[in-house]
Amino acid sequence: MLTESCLLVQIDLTSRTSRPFGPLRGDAADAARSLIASARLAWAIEGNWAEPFFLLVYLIIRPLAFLGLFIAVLSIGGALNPASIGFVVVGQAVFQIVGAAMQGPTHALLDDRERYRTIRYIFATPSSLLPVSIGRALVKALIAGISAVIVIGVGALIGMPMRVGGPDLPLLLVVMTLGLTSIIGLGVALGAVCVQLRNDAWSYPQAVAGSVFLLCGAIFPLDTLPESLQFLGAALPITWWIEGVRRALLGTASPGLLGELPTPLLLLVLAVGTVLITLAAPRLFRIGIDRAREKGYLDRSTAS
Amino acid sequence: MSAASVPKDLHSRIYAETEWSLSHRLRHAAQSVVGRAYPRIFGMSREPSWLFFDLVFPTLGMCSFVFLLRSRGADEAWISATILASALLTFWTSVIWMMAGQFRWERDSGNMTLYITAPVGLGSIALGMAVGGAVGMAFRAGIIILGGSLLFGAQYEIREPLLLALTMMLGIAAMYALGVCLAAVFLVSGREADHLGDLLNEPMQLLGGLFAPVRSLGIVGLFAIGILPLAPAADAMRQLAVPQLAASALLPVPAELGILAVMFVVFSLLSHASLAFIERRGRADGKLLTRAD
Amino acid sequence: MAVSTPAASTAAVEVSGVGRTFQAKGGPVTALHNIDLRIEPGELFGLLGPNGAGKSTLIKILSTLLLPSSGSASIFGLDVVRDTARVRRIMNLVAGGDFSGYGLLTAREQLAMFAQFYGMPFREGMRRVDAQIEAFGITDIRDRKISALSTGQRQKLNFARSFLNEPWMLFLDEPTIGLDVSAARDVRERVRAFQAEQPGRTVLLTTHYMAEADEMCDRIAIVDHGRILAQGTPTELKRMVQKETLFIVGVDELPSTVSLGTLRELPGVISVVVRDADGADGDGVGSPVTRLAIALREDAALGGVISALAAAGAHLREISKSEPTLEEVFVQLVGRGISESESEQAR
Repeated sequence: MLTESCLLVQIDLTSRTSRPFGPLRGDAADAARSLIASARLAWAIEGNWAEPFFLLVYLIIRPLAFLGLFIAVLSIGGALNPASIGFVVVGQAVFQIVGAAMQGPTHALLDDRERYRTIRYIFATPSSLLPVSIGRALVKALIAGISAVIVIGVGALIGMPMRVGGPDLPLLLVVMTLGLTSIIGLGVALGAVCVQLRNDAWSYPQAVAGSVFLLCGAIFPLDTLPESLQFLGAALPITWWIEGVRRALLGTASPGLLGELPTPLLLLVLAVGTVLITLAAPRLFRIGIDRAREKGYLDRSTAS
Repeated sequence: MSAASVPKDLHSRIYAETEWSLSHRLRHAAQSVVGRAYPRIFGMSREPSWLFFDLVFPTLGMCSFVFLLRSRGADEAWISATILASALLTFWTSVIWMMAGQFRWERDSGNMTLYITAPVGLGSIALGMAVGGAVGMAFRAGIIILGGSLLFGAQYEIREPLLLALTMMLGIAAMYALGVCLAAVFLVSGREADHLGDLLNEPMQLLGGLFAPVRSLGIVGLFAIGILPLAPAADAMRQLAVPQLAASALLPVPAELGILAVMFVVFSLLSHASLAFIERRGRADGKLLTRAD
Repeated sequence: MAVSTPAASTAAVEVSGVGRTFQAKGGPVTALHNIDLRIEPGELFGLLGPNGAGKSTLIKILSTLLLPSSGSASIFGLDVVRDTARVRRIMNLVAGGDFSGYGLLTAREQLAMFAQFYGMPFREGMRRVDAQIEAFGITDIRDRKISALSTGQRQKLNFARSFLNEPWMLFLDEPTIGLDVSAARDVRERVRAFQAEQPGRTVLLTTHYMAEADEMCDRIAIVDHGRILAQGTPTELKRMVQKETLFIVGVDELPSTVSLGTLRELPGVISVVVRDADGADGDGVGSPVTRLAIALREDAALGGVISALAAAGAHLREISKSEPTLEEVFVQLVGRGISESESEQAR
């Protein structure tokens, strides 16, 4: 009896670590439930719905302040043309979603580990932490998406030229789906790294987001960067995502090399990048969680 | 302990001990300032995270603005101004999170209880935090300016170094005084203080004319230069360090220096009131000074 | 602010009609009701009661963290509201479960910083810092960062900090909470030693550990629901439950030459009853024991009883003194145990 119990426990432990692609078959329902529960929690926590002032700050004031800042700096170089405004507006709007979705899984893990101290209890359940992290990231991205729509709306008011005939909705849907998937994958991988850290874990998502912002052509064409950095930027699916959204909304491609590539090629590159990340991210996540567990960092806070 | 062993003149002795001369009180105040500045100057550098918060993040932001300017073919003088602005931003970020927001952390960690019950006074603590923060940030700002200038080949033309130094010191002093004023707001806000900090970050970068001159904001810029130390400090520093950009300034340097001086005095007085409010309200309602049990 | 001259009071702590009400969402909550208290210089005075009784509120008022809603209080004649600055110069505070401090500073640096806050000349401050480090046996961690210290080490550091300014008035608010037995014992010994060094040093301790209060305190006030229910020395409080001294004397068997009536007639004896009679001792081995519960007017009367039993040929097996605990005192006063009180107040 004792041997059998130990064997069952061992199988369970092994199965947790030997499923590289996350939950399979009968676990899919569990994963979906975890994801939905996590998403509902994130909606309540992240939305500031009970505090109208702070809702205003995060959905409107801060994003528009960012936009204002970039537009003001843009105007230093000479009179603003609609194309430049459109370039910056779309880049800034999409990057809000990038930032939220990329930092989402890390913040979910660190919040649960350090602020709410619930990670050990979630980990002890049959649920995987992966759908929990993804659920939080999805809601953060959705809330950021609301803000992105507001930014684009303001952009349209200040002279951003929209695509003749309205946005290319099929293209927009495809790039948004691919882009969101890739960025959540990146976020999951980043979360796996951060949870293995005890000190400075909170700094990494911001540093990565800041670096990505610099490299992805959000507010200036990729060609502005030194060549070595251009190569890095081109390797990021986010760069292609933002370009795809620009084409869908503005109807024009960006200046520079990126803009010269045809849309089907852009979609192909984005799709390949997304697939690669989607395949790698869950595996990286599991490795990260297992390593954090080995180090005893799964329930240790940064301060302890 | 028997009553017989207690000296008969104990109360008089104790009362005499509590009589501190003016020189004792001044010395004590200076010691307290130095004592509180110590963790800021020496302790803060012991964890590598300062590299992220105080160097990496500002540098990433700086690079984004520099490339944005270059993509627009802006005058290289603006690159120099952007580097200076990034350095100034480190002070502002420190003011938000390590002055205004710091008292909340002190309360939650239990330090506030020890400060209140010690004869030190919140004013000395705040001044120590400001001095320590400013010294610590000055080092980091120097690295940002040096690194950014080397990276992007920035050039400056400083004709009046003393005036530039005075502008920076007044600007930093006014910012930290404002930070102490905001400490009361942060304490009263409770958990919402994090959101307040975010509100004071990017929107203030815009209003403060850090990366784009405050003149471009029109009437809002006039308003900003009157209440936000960042605005006159950034505008004056730009004129003094990159004179080619003087035409973009809202007001001449002497006027902006005057505004900074007035701000420093006004915010210092208000910060005194803010600290008095914190102690008075905290002792009255029992919530502000001690973390929730 | 006008500074008062020291009051004529000779007390270390004088509390007169102090009340404290807090504004809460459900309405005002009165934490203290009209408290009167006097602590003499040199005393180690305990405030005993369950969580939520008002002990910490009173300490916060006396340590100038909180203003009273009514009444007045003074520390060595200095009013805690009007003479706040002076009070802070002669007092210190240790709270249990406290994790104050800057994690990046070493233990020694942290103490040095507080030495500055208490206005000591630098050299004198460092001398005291090193003396306290040694006194608390934390020399091996003096150069370790605060963030790397254990709970017990942090609390010892907390105490070391509180002794730096050699306060005349020391407030200890549940100081041993979260400490293991050994660390708690060390802390208690240091507090006693601290008081012994200078006559007049006064300590006010709050705790809900009855045994700690019993062991440490010269006098105790039992507090519940913001009121002082009783005050006195531990012995006086226990006498409220059991007025006489009770001894349990175990003999092989009561000799036929002496009866309970004979023993009752001895000087100082109030009553003698057979408490129990064992067929064997605790582990089922050995000869039988008859235990007598003997109530005496004073401890000294026990000698006469023992002599009488010995003279009658009884073989003495055991003697123990049976005292009520402070828990029993609390139950008597409040009508329920301290843990029941805490559950009720939590509700």
